[in-house]
Amino acid sequence: MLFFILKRVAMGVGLVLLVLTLIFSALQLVPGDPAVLLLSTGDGGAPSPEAVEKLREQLGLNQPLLTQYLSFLSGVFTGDLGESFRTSQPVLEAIGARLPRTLMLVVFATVLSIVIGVAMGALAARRGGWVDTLVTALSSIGVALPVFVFGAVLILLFSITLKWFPAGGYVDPSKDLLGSLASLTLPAIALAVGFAAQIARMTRSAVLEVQTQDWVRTAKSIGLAPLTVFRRHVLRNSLTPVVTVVGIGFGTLLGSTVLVERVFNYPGLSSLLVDGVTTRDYPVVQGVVIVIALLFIAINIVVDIIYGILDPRVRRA
Amino acid sequence: MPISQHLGRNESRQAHRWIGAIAFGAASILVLAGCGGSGDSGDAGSGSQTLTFGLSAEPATPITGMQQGGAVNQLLTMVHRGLMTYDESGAVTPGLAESVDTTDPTSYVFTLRPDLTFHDDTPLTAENVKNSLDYYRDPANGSQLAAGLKDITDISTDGDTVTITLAQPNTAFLQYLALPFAAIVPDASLNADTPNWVGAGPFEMTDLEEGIGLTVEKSDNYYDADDVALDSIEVKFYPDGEARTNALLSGDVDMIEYVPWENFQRVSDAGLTVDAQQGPFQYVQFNVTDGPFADPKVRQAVAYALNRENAVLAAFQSNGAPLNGIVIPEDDPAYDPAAAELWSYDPDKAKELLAEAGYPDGFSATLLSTSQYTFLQDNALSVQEDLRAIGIDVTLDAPDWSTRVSKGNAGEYDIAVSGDAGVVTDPSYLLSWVVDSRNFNVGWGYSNDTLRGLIEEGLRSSDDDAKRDIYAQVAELWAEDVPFASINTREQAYAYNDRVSGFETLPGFLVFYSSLNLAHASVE
Repeated sequence: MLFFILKRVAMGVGLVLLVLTLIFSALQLVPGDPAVLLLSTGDGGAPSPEAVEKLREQLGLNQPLLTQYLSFLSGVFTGDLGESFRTSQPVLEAIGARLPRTLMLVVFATVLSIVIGVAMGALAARRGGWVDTLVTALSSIGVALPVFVFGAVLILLFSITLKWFPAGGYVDPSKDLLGSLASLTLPAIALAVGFAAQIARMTRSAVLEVQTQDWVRTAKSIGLAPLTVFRRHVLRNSLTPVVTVVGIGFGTLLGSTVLVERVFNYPGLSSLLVDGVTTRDYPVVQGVVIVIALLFIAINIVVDIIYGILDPRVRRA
Repeated sequence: MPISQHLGRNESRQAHRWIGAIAFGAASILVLAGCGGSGDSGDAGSGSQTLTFGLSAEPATPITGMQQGGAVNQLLTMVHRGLMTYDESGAVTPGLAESVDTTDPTSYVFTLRPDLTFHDDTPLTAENVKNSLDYYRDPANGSQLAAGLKDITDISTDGDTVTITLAQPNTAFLQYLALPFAAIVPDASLNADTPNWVGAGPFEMTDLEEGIGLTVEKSDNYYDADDVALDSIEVKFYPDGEARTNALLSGDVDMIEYVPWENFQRVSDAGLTVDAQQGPFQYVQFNVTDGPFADPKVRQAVAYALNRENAVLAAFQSNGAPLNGIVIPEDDPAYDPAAAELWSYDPDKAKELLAEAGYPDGFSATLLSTSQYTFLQDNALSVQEDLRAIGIDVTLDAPDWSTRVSKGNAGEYDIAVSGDAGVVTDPSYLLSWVVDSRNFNVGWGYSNDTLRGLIEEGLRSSDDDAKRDIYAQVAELWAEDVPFASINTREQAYAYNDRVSGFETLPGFLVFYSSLNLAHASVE
């Protein structure tokens, strides 16, 4: 067992090294010099060669590529991801500030999706008829609607017309909990809509399938109230596939935050990554990619180990 | 067998109650949050004036003496002042200097205002002035003022006076001293590593939240503090134009800069002020190292082929103006409206010129632009259409800005569409385009010694009529040789709600420095 865990961890470390090398090389291959870019803003002329050289020196870009690569590697293993080219903020600090914000958004959206999705799906399956048609139509729209379009509509309606919620931005929950919830609401709804539609569909078909099972017929025949039968025997058994979807959907939601954070001007991890790519802020891009990769690799290792503990056959594989 | 079969009736009901409770709780919190958290613009009690300001980017850390673009310049105008500054209408006026005496056009004596102090409470002395300017004029420091201050031969101090001697007269000299990145700073900031925040301007940077915003507060050390009405400005970063506009419309912020052109109408329809100026200009630049565009006749053909009205409509929803020549700012002695009318939209003439140049059937070319800035891409599409109409088969290359810059710096294009503005209003800003500086925003490989000579002569000429004559010649040569073919000028706008008063944008290229006027603004 111990050998199995060690093997998995060693593979994980190898994978991390591979990711590090890949991201470092990829950034070198993308056209655009960070120093030139920091001084080439479009309006107001172009930088002098001396200015660029000075900045390259300051950012350590004038060092040989191998030196840069090695110092990057040693930095990662000593927990130092460097500083942002643009803002001089330590990358680890930036990630530390922004990762919780994005997770907060994703968790909020997940909760919303589950509550809305399960309720709508169960309702559609139970009531049938026009309710079913309406829910099915709505969930088709929900799945198809681009998140930025829906976000724009939400802002137009709830921020600009009704002025109920701010049009974007971030409020620190430790300073102002209500304000923080208010600023999270619209982006979370925008993020949740597609996912909620998926869950609604899933719930609906699962409920319809479970309803025809033997034990449901038995429960009905012994005279239990229909609502009790539905709650105790139908809905609970229908939620198993839904749980699977939620697990997979979390990753998808994380991807969708790229658009949502842009539309709602939300300073999360995704906007950090996007801005990092557009400005060729190497340390930032490297840092964010590493953190995301580590997260996924760690989760996979843990899952593998748990499987290994649960099922001896996996260990021998 | 399903797990739920093992659960007793009670657990099941409990679970259900939980779901209900969570749903109810979530719903009520949302309603509460909505009511409590509606976008109040910071009213910090009575008598305290706070302006919330939407900035168009998350600014880079300011590096002393470097030109880092619009967003950083906005902040520099809040925290810094130079020897000179721009007054509310855009005229150069003494800033930290109380007066400027010029006995002859190569010698300037600046007398500093009494008791000048930096935000960190250290005194601002004539020595600081000399050190800052010496740092800026040394190209080795990577300062982007080196070119503008190259004529300085000596800076000497005596008490509270600073005397600057120039090698030759320079009509743009005082304008360079007024730039946001030409401020007088403490000696400790004169390096590339210290963030350039400490200044002697009207506001002091007190709080920076990476990725979110920053706060500047009124500085009592500012020489004109009595006239500054705002107690603080809360700057929030909105890289996305749509998000920035929404923030203004919903009341999250009082004021935004860089209003997207497609939103001018929307903002003014909502009863807010759109305060715009015709600012930067867009143009076609040519790679003249080989191929058809090495021939001035072909460049002229392009200049006559452009349907500029159409480009203004397509790229700026009419919030711009066609430009048929070069921009010489109205308050400059060299100003002559004829300079902006060098070509016209005349496709037939364009075809004739192409035929004369030996391309009666046209040719193919690549057009470099960027998809990151929609207005540049829209201008490029308009140009592509116009050139196809005269037989030049143009393929559009529109990568992200970063790639656009590196391709431009390497000359990997036949023609490109750019937007730019003079860093100062003196028409000598045109120099960059005629000295083969091999930059992303000027014609690759283009140099013209005659034009260069004329522009430099204009810079030395303290006689207004002489300067006007010089620029008449510049315009004439420009029309024939076409270092760039202009397309249009665009309006740059600030927009604000009715809480804001006393703010106005600066004219022309200076529009990017309009935040200087926040020192004169107030909010209710």
